[in-house]
Amino acid sequence: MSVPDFVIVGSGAAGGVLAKELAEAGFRVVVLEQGPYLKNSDFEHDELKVMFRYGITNDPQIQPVTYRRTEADQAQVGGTIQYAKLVGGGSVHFTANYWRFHEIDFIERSTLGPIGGASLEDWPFPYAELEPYYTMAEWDLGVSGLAGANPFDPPRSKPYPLPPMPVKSSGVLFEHATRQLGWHPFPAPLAILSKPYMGRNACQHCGFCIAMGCEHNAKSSTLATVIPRAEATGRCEIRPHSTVFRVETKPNGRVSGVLYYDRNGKERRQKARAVIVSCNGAETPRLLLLSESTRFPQGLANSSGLVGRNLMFNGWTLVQGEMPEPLNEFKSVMTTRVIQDFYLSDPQRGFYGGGGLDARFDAYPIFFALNCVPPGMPRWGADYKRWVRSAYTRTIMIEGHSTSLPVESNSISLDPVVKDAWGLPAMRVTNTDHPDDLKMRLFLVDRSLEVMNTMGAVRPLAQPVTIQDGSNHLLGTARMGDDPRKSVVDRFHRAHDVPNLFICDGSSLVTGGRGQPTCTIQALAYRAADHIARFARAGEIPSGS
Amino acid sequence: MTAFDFSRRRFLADSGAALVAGWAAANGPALERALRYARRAVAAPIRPSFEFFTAVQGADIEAVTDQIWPADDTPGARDMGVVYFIDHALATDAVAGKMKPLFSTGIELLQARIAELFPETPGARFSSLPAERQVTVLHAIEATPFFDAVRTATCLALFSNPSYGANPEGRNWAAIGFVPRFVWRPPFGAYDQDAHAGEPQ
Repeated sequence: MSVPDFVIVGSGAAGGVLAKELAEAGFRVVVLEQGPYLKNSDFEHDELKVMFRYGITNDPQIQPVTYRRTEADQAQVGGTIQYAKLVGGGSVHFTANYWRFHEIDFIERSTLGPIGGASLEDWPFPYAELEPYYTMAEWDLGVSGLAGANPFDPPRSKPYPLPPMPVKSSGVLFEHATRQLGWHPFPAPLAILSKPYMGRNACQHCGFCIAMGCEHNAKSSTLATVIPRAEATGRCEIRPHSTVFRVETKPNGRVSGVLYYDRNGKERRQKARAVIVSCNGAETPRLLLLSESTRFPQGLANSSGLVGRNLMFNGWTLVQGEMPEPLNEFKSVMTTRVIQDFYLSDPQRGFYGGGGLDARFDAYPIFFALNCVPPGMPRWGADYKRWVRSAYTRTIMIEGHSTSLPVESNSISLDPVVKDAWGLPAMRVTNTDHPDDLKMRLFLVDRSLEVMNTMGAVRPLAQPVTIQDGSNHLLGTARMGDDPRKSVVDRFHRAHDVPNLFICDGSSLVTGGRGQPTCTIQALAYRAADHIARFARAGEIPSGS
Repeated sequence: MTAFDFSRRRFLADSGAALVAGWAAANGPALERALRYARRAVAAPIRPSFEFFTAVQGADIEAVTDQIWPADDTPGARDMGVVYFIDHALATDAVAGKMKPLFSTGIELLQARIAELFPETPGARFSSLPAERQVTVLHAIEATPFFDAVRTATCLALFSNPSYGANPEGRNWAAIGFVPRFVWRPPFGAYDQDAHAGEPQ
């Protein structure tokens, strides 16, 4: 085709939505995706391949990640940034938790005031402005849940399109225990179909949601939902095995397209009138920094110096325990009940932070045998085997999801030494979680242990709370804002520095919510597409080609 | 983290850290071939010779794997040929092969501990010790990277998909209660038997 209107780098939670919305709006779109174009029939329940062999994720052997705690340290190979590397991106392998952010997440800075050691800011718009797009995402993609069941839920203009998933034994136990404790359990909102929807199958309860693709097309990934609709317009090409390494800039300060390596390692160019970067909160800043030029010596769109900074991972906690009877949690979705009673930051606790808990079980057999042995239990031998045989079906887990404060020195940058398989600078992670984030996680561990005790679970095991060297929640590294000195993109996702460059993915988030960012990333993508289409129709995006 | 929401940071942290130097870095197809090899090896009328280990070393490693996951009323690691998976992977894959010194020195360490703990039987091999003595020796080395590498390989082999070979007909899954049916209907477990009225079917 001739020069397309948009090239979108990345086909994940955000890129897939943008592709469909812009193609349906009449624009010609090329989507470049590093990974392969798999079909639902390609997805297997193969723990060895997916969990231990980087089956559908970035492979650190060809794309090494380095990590250092502070900017004073020398980074070492071994950071654990992880993202799904295939058409559909993280929306294919995520657990499908689909929590909206609450009103407070958009105005926490002005509500609470400044927090030492953090660069907390309000979003450039309130929850109410994003609400219609949350609803659009839920109905366009297919989300199961029960409106009104969570007393802390923000206002919504429509219920969920699908009823909640059937409750599991973990959900029943968690619901009873948390009610006893005076809390407010509700059915987990999940981007998984409890009933057939828009020509797709309902969930068959195979139990392999986390980290895996769905062979029934019941998980509402962009691969299963919007990407086929984008292609059906005849105006969108999805081009897999295309690893973009540079956004090209013209002397007039506009971008003209991208350079990428194809599946044979051959360098290719894709021109476009405008470029949208949706590579995730780690690869997006890396690409912008790799795209430095004489015009933009600090990296593209980086006059603020904030590209890659304010990296947020979300906090998480995990406690497991055993019940007397089998739960058989290896069946069905990972989680069916949630509480958000601790969502708000409470000054009474003495530190900033908030979060939620869910009841779940998400250990496949290899992982369970290797890593879920409680303290005091042998890790090998006859007693170990007896324990694994008894505990696999009787284990329940409670996972916490919590805040991570934006801290400017936490960042994605280019490693000065280590290179990837193409000879490009590797991704370097600098991260020390804010002390309040660690305190909030310890608080959630204590609440989880209370639930375990109330349920009567034995041998509780809490994963230690430690500073994170990576994550698969990759947020905040090209934050939105009205002030070009304090943000990378404006409230419409347009780079402050480049009139025909847009950035929309986890990097856009100003705050990280309380975990589970995909819902918000996708609502932002629907909203961004609306505005980008409006600008394009009005001739307000100058062409770079 | 669930590769860990792949949350899955937990998977990242735990599986990554424990395995980063060894099995996780090994070549995927080579590991799969090694698992299939293990199945053929235990099915053969006469078990094949080892490719990397000597016969004596292989017998020692096999005994270690069988102490990690011993037979009860379900098969143990020896029955599943886990040692052939380890041996074939070390012999045929360059990346896994980087662990050869770890295994060679680990076997020497085993022998050194035997000499310390049981000086009355100089030169006795681990594989020839009575079971309770094997357990004593393994307690003395259970915190070493060598033991971790054997334990990790044993779990990878036993609980990987039956198509790979060391979990024939999913027998090790059956032992822990995991049923690979992949299509279920509620109720799922003991605590949700009466909880499904009015839910989507």
